Formats: sequence, structure tokens, C-alpha cells
Amino acid sequence: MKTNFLKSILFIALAAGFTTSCVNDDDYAVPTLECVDSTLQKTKEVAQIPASTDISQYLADDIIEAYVTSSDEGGNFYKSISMQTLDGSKAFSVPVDVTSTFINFEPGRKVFIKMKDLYTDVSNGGMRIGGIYVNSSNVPSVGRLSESLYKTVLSRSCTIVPESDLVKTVTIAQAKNDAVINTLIDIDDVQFTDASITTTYYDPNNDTGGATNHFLVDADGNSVIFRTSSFANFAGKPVATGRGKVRGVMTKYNSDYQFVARTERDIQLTGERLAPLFSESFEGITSTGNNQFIALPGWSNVSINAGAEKWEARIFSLNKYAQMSAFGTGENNVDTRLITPAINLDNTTAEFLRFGYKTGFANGIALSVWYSTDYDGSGTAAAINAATWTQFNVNLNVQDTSYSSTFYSSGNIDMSGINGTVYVAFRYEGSAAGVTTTYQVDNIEVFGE
Amino acid sequence: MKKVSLIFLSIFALFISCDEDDDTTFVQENYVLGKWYVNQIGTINANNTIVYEDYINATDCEDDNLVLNENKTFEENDFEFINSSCQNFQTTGSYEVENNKIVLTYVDSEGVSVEHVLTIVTLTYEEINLSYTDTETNEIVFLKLRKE
Repeated sequence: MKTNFLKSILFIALAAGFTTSCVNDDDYAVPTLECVDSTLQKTKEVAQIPASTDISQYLADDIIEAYVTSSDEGGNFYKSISMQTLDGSKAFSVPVDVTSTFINFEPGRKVFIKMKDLYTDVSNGGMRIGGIYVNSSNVPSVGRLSESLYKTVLSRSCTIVPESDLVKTVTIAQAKNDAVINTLIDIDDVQFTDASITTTYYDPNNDTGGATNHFLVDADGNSVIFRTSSFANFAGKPVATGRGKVRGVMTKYNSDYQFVARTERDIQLTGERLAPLFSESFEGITSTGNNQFIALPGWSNVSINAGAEKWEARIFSLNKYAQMSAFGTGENNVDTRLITPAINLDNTTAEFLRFGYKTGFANGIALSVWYSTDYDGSGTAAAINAATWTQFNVNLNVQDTSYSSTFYSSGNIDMSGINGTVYVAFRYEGSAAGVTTTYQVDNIEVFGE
Repeated sequence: MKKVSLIFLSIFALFISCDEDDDTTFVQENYVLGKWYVNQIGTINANNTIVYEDYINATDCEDDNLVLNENKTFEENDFEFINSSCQNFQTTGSYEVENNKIVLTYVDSEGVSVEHVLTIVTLTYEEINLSYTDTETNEIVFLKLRKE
């Protein structure tokens, strides 16, 4: 009896001791509501931390502070935390070998970083701070911080600022800048392209490195990649069809700027979609190449001076477009008009025209854009000559000798003063002995409200 | 008797389950221990690639090495063949392993305490790749060492 009794006491005491020690050992304890602030103080600004394309080690015992912009809550960011200064003038990312970092390092959280012995570099235009990694080709770069190093190096402060203090509203053109990488941005008045809105954020049929690159476009036709990982928790959701604001973090891969939304909440495209009254991408044409003259329904394609050469349908990199050149035609007074079908502007206001164009072998300007409200659409030189044509004031000065990889935007050409039914003419004027610049025209669109 | 041993067994099991809950550390310290011979030295070339060159030891001497002892002391043995005998220009001091760093602390010839930080790039039982920044050139130097 006596011995048994003692043993049970001993057992209970020991067991209680073990339970306590187990609880203390847990790193994932329920967070206490009262934050114990870091005792660290910043000693250097982010701008004072050197970083270049070649990796280097930071040796001094300095501390910097920055605010988290990214979040792996939605699975779109993975093992990398983007941070910026409060004013957004400097930003960087910290690769870490840790997941669910958003629990401790959520957007807006001020973080202290102990810089001593960490490595820095600039990769794809963005500054990185982290460990060192040497790949199989012996190329050293900034690598992920191990979990233990992540806990030592990154110190969470109790300060958390609202995202509105960090975010900058930028246009697509402004967003595509290395200085914007890793910062929190809003892009307003944008929508996904027509091709994107019929699919999901991650589309298995459109996979680039485990993610899908969709495009956001603004009213001026500028576009930027919107990238969604297959691991994002909104990957399978249909792409938002509306127009509005997106919030997220700019990243870059090679020369491509890639906008990354952190969660589906960042996609606030709730406004009405901007849809063109008229659009032509030439993708419906089956035959392309030399002398494959454009003959779409309702369109006119006419050589005014009875020449043989007219606007051709061409294809390059799976994209079809209209092309015209006086080169090799033997014609000395080329005047060829590619005229859209009738476009009705009665039910809209604030209309504008926009198209993309490229030049090649340029030796002078040959393209101008005109409109008529009294052309009968019959597609004869006589009917075109009988109509009244007014030239749009548009700057088409690009004179490339080799084709640009992307089309230049004409910019928005005001049509708000035009009423009724309108025809738009793309007029090529050149000569085999004179200006023979090749013009390529694509994505002709008319918008209105 | 039987009951008693069962109780002890269960206590032992509890102890183990707590013990395994330890913080994970990047480096297993026992891997770092030992006598490491320098195999190759690498520097970054203009194409941002590490170029390794074989480390040249003094002929007829023991190969240069770094000894990391269990009692947290280290020896750096640097041999040179002078006047028909091998001389060891040895540095000794203490070291700490902190995450992925080996911090060597020693007193230099002028009596000043010096800290030398080596980053562990990769580590297996037999091979360790280290990097450090040469404070004179500010360039990163890579070392490949093998255990004897």
C-alpha cells in the first residue's frame, strides 16, 4: 500500500512537469493579445544598404526597418516576403524557407531586419535581402533564409499601419518600373482582356511556370501581366469581368513586369466593363500572306488609283493583322484605303478610336486615318471619292526600320464630335519610287459611354 | 515489479515526446565537428559565376586544415616548408555555430580580438562549403573543405 501510494504521487508530479515543459516549447502558441514590442532600433535606412546584380554580404551590425506589402495568405506569394519603406521610396523582398508567414508578417506590419552577415543582390530589377544560395552552375545569389535564421533576423514590431498608408495609386505605365517592384500599389480603371474573362485566374491550358499570366488593360490600351499561381486559393475562380481597381505587389521576371494580387479581395473590379462599340483583331481571317487582300464583310479595301496592291492579311507569332507597303509594287501613286464597316455613334457619347500599329523598312510617313459620315460603303473608288473625308489629328510618327516586338498604340483618338454612322479609313499613300514604309495595323477599336 | 516498470516506461515515452519538440536548427552541430582539409577556393568572376581553383598545400607538409573541436575551440593549421622543415602558422581560438554561420573568435598577433564569420552554404557529413567576405576586397570567397 505505502509504496504504491508514493509511486502514484511521483507519477502525477512528473507528468505535470512534462505537460508544462511541452507547452513552453511550442512555437505556434495562441498569440497573446498584448504585443511585446521589439527592443531593436533602426540604425540605417533601406536606401543605405548597397545592392547590385552581383551578390554581396552586409558585414556591419546594422538594423533596418520596413513594412510588409505581400502576403502568402492567398497562396499567390510563396516563400518570399516583399517589404517597402513607409514612403515607398525603397522596397525589397526577403526569400524565406517558411510558409504561412502572413500570420506574423502580415501587410502593414513594421519589421526590423538585423542586417549583419546577410546577403543582398538585385534580381530581375528587385532588391533582395537573405541568405546565400549557389546553384548547380556555381552561380551564387541571394537565397532563402532558413526557418531558424528567419526567426533571428526578422523581428516583428507591434506597429501595424493601414494599407492606405503604404499603397500608391499608379497607372499601368507607371507601374512598369523597377522602382515600383515589391511596393504595394493600386491600379485603377482597369479590366481583364476579352480573352481572359472567359477563363479562370489560373488556367491549366495557359500555364507558364506553374502560373497563368492574364493581362489587365486600361482605357489607353496599356496592358500589364496579372499573374496567378496554381496554388492560389482563388486559382479556380472565374476571372472578374468588371472594371475597377486592383491592389497588389509588382514583381518582375526577366523583362516582364508581373502584377501579383495577394488574395481575391485585392481584385475590386466591380464597375461596368468598358466594351468597344466596334473592334477588329483580324484573327477571323483564314488566308494570310502576300496578295491575301483583306475582304471582311462590310469592309472596303480599295486602291483609289486602280493599282493592284491593297491591304493584305498577314500573320506573325500567331497574331493576324493588316499590312500595306508600296515596296515592289511598281506603282508610283499608291493610295489604298482600308475602310471599316459603318459604326453607329448615335447611342453613345465620348467616343474614341484606338488601334495598334508598327512600321518596318521605314523611309517616310505613309499612313493617315480619316472618317466619313456620308460614304455609302459600296467599296468602289468612285464611291470613296464621292464621299466627304476628314482626317483625324493623330500622331503616327513611328519610323522603325525593323519591326517592334509589340504594336504601338495610336492613343485615344477623339470621336466625340461625330454623330450618326461613321466609316473609318486607314489610308496608305506611297510610291514604289518614294515612300515604301511597311505598315501593320491591328486591334482597331471604338469605345463610347 | 511488472507494474513499476510499466510506469517507468510511460514516463520515458513522455520524456521523448517532449524532447523531440526541440526547435529545428539549420545545422546539426555534430556535422560541423572534425578536421576539415581545404580542397578548393572559389571567387566570383565577371559572369557572376564561382570559379574554383584547387587549393595548393606546401609540399612535404601536412595539408592545411581547420579543426573544429567539440569543446568549441578551433585550430587553423597553415603549414609552410621553411628551412627544410614544416612550420605551422597556427591560429587558435573559440567558435560558435549560429544558424548557418560559424563565428570564429581569436586574438590576432597585435593582441586584438577578431571575429571571423563563415557562412555555411552547404553541409554534409563529409563536405562543407563555406563563404566569407574578404574585408580588404569586399568580395565573397568560397571554400570547399573535406573531412579527413
